[in-house]
Amino acid sequence: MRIALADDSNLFRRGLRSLVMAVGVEVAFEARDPSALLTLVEADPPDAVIVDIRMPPTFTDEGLVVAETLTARYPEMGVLVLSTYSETAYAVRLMEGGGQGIGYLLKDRVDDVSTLVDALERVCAGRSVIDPDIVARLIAQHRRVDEMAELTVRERDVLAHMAEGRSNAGIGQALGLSARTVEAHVASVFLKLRLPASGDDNRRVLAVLTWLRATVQKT
Amino acid sequence: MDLVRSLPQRSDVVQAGSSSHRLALTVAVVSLLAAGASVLSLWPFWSSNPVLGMINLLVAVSVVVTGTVLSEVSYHRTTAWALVGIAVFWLMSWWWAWPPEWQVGPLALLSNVFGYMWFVIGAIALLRYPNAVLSTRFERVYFAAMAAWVCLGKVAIALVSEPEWDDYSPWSWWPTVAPDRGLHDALTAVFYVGMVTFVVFLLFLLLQKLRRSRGIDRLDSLPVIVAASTVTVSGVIYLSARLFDFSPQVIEALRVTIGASALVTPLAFLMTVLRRRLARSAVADLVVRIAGAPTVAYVQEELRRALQDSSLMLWVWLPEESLYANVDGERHPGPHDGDGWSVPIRTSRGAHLAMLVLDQSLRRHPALVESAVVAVGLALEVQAQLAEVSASRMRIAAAAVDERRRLERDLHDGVQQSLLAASASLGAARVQAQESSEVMAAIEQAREDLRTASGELRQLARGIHPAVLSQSGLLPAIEDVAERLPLNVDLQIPAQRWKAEVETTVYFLACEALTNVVRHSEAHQVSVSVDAGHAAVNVEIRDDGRGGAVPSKGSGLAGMRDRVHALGGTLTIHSPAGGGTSIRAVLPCE
Repeated sequence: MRIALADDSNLFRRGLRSLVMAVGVEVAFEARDPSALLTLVEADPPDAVIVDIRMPPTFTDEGLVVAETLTARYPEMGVLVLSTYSETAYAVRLMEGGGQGIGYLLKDRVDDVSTLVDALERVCAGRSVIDPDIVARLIAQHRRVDEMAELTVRERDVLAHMAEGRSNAGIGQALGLSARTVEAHVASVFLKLRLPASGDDNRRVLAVLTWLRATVQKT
Repeated sequence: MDLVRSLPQRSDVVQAGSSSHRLALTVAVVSLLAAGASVLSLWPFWSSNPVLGMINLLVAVSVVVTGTVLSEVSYHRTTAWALVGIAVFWLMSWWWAWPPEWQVGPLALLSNVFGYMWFVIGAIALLRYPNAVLSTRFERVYFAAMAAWVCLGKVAIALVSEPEWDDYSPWSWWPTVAPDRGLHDALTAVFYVGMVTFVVFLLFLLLQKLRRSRGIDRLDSLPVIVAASTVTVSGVIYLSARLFDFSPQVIEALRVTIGASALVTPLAFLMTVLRRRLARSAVADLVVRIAGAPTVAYVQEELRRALQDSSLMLWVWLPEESLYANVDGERHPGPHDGDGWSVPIRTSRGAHLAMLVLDQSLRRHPALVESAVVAVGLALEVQAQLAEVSASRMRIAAAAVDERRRLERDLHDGVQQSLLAASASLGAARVQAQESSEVMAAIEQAREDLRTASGELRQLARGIHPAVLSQSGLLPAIEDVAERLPLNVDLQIPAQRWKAEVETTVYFLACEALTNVVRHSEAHQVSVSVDAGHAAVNVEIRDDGRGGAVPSKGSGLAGMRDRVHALGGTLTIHSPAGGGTSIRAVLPCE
């Protein structure tokens, strides 16, 4: 796998590069801001890019903007957005963009290469990735406590993995279940939570996230 | 701006305190003298018609006393002397009734010739009080014509008559040349017609003057003009009665009427003096009333009331723009020629604050204006200082927000990235380390430590300033806080953006309130609503918990109240025991 890195911190880029290279991932090039990244990607598109959410020039949401640009221009390319803070709003915004192969991960995940590589592989395959920290936080919320009580422990695990962006096969792999069993659990969750059924992973992620955050009203 | 003139000196002001004893003594002495002169002048009436005598005595005394009181005000000194003159001629006009042995030498003739002079002087005094409306030349002509008519007319009549024809003693000295009863009656008729004409003309001038006067002048002259009109009207009736030879009883009754109405005039003068003192105390009240004035418009309104000038304008000087602003915010380089009387208002240290544009008629009331100017100066100075204090508090609040953002960014870009880089390097080391080796165990330990450090640092940075707030606004930032709480939080927050210090204050207020709800309220439901009002943001955090929240000194809520106040906002806490808690804040955001 060939990837590109975009982060304004030299120190962090160096750590990240040594990490992914340790598992045989090739780092095609690095950039310290979005415009440099876009130029380099245009010259030589990699399989995936890892972008920091806060980059020059304004250090606000440059990473989100460039991620949306990249998924629109290169539908085959996986884009993984890293963030120091795990903000549900940013994750939802990325999913709402409707692009394929996009992920939002807490920067802390860099201490576990398997999680990172798993996320990279998933975005390269056109799936979505939502940081488990955000999903766990949303599930732990009490605002949906009554409806959640209707789910079995296994169904709750399946719901969490759906929210993180895993496919049925991925869920089966993570939980050690057969594809058929996972399908049955997913169908049960959708029925109990009255969620609209969807075969598309990204839409499924968005539907689950939206359901979890349902009482937040935007006026 | 040569229109701006300094105020006249304070010597124009009635000196109340120290001189009041001297004034009382003067009034007593003058009253005694006037009463003595009246007793002598009106001698025959004390037996024949004591009512008429008493009325005329009172007229003389009150006119002289009024003159004495007015003489204390330098501006009215001429009027004061005129009043004394009126009393003298008024008493002289009654000498015809004296017993023959009193009418020695030319006294009868003097009484006859100058008797009506009280009217001439009175007319001039009225026209000049409280300020002249006629040109000096016109006044002189009018005065001279009237005086000539009164004196020369009487002399002319005397030349063709005997003294007894005009009720004087037949033995008194009289400049008779060719007595002719027919000519005497004809000349007398002409004389009275002329007098009636002068009186009616005076009435016309007085009403004209009242119509033209404004503000304080109008209030000053109104009672006097009304009283004088009564005298002149009864005077016209009296003169007409003389002209048409009414019975002596009717003439006598009319004399009483004139005397009674004449008595009202000095009282009216005194009323005006009293009203002035009230006006001064109204201006004194002004100091108190506008001390805590909320707006310049309020100050202007109070000034208009105190100075009785509805056209009064207050222009506040804006040094940074080098312009004046009125209460509606209109800018102006400075009051125009003809706008009125411009009086500068300064601070106690002499710095220019504002310009007061007054009606020209207030020039005659410098003491009132001076007091008002001092009062306004004080009020505006205090207001300016308060504005400066609140502006500096806002600057400090804004600077504090900037500082916190900078600090968060430094933490994020510096320490945090270094920690994460270390995590990544450790992750790489973990790949190479052999499973179950001692190195692996050490790496795992280091990874745990780094995660803890990174998590703590993230918490700290978020507490200093949440990045998501400045990046995406209140809704995502408060959403994030709400997600981490173990209870239902209903958010009604628009996606709108506000100034950083407003957003930060709302955010930390919501955090503080939500923390309190989780810690103390035992609530099941809490709502946070933010809505954009008119030039303000309204925030409410309401829960269904047990209430009874009191923001004790040094508590988080007390601190929030200070932050809200620093932005010029208000914070109210409604927390009845058992009735939930509602915290409302209104933050201005122009």
